[in-house]
Amino acid sequence: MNQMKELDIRELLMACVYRAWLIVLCAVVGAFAAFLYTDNFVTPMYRAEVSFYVNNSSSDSGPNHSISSSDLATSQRLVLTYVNIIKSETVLDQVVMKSGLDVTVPQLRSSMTAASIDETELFKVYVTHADAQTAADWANAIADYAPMELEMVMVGSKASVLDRAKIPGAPYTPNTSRNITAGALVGLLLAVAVIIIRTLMDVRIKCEEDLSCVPDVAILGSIPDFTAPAAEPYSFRRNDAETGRR
Amino acid sequence: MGMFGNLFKSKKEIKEASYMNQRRNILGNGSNFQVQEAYKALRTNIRFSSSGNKFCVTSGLASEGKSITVLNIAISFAEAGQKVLLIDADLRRPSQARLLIENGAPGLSNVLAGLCDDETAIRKEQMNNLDVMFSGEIPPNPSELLSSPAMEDMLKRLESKYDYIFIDTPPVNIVTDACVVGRLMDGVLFVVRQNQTDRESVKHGVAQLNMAGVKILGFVFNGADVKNNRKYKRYKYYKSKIYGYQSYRHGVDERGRGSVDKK
Repeated sequence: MNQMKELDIRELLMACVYRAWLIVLCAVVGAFAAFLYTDNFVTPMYRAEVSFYVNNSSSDSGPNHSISSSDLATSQRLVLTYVNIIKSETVLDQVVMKSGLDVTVPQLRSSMTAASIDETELFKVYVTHADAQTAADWANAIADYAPMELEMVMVGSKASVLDRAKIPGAPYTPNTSRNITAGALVGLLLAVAVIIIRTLMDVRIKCEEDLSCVPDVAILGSIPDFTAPAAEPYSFRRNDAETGRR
Repeated sequence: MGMFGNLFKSKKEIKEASYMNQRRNILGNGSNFQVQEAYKALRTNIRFSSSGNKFCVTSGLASEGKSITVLNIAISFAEAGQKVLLIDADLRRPSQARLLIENGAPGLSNVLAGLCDDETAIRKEQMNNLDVMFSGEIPPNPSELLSSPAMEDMLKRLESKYDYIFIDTPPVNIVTDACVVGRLMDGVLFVVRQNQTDRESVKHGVAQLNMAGVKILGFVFNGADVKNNRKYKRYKYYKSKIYGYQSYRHGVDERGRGSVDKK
């Protein structure tokens, strides 16, 4: 094409409105496909969480000691460090050994995430597993044995368990309704994209203005697309724009 | 049953059925009012855009309504009291005989080959004021026949006997016959079909005709949607136009209501 076809937003919009049924159909198909996939191919994972409170133990210097803001600041930095250390070989090795759980260190590491909670001295550890009980067990193993190791690595700090893990009731992933929505959206966008591309690429003559692509040649006549009511006894296919409701 | 009926019919039957479909588009008393008016407007424009009386009609590709259009133009002129000759010069896929349910031979090819004279080839008074010369037998050398001196001579002979001569020619983007015949004409009408013809086809066809030195009278836009058909890109509201239009019809009140509509 030597010339870019003029982009008429209204034309594209009308093309989509005219084919609204297709867009809706694709959205429904997309949603359905997403549902089928989510239901049948994705293993639901459960997530158990434990939370810890961190402070530097040097602040426990006596009943009259109040926590200063610099203490808090230090603790917050400790959290960031803990979040990294807790996944180390040293710590997890001890956790696995002392808890007696049937799991390897890499397995445990890959199933856990540690994150600080905003800018506080708290952090959480999440364990994700296909089995709810296992997730809780592993999380609690970490709760039981990790703080000791943390304190041995970072001498002079203390991590206390705030919340132990409960057995998660509902799966954390997949989020079925979110997937269905996403599926519907993808279907919709695909349909719209296809319609738009096809409309832009359509170089047929659609109206008299299109014929001005050849200048200097006049339009002598415009014959509407009507057909006379059938005079013949045999009517094969009605072309009538009036009665052939499409 | 619609389209699925096609599966059970022979190719011949399908072709015949499509012709039957097209015959319903032939201008006549049963035709839609707007179609009749459209052809009348076309007729006026043709008369005013040229002082000549010999015109041929072509299109870019096949199936764009060219044959019906040229037939209807001829009928329209005939209805206006002009003595008209319609010649089917599409010697490869002649349609006029099929449309009018006549035997296509003898016809143009016979005359050009010197095998018969004009009088034999012309069917007089096919309709009121309208004579038709069909294509004749399909020859092996259509382009040569059309570009031979015999064609020019025949036209000279017939020119004086008729007020108007209209010639149906093959699509210009497929074969060169339209250019060959066009050179002998006072003008060429280029038929274009809505939602079917594409711009490149139009540009190419016009370029071909220009290169051959043929005078292009103008486009005939076929299959134009009048009502607000959603396929039409400009979402215009035509209803008010139709009301005004209809009020000029005989037997219809100014709101466009009347009994003459349904036939």
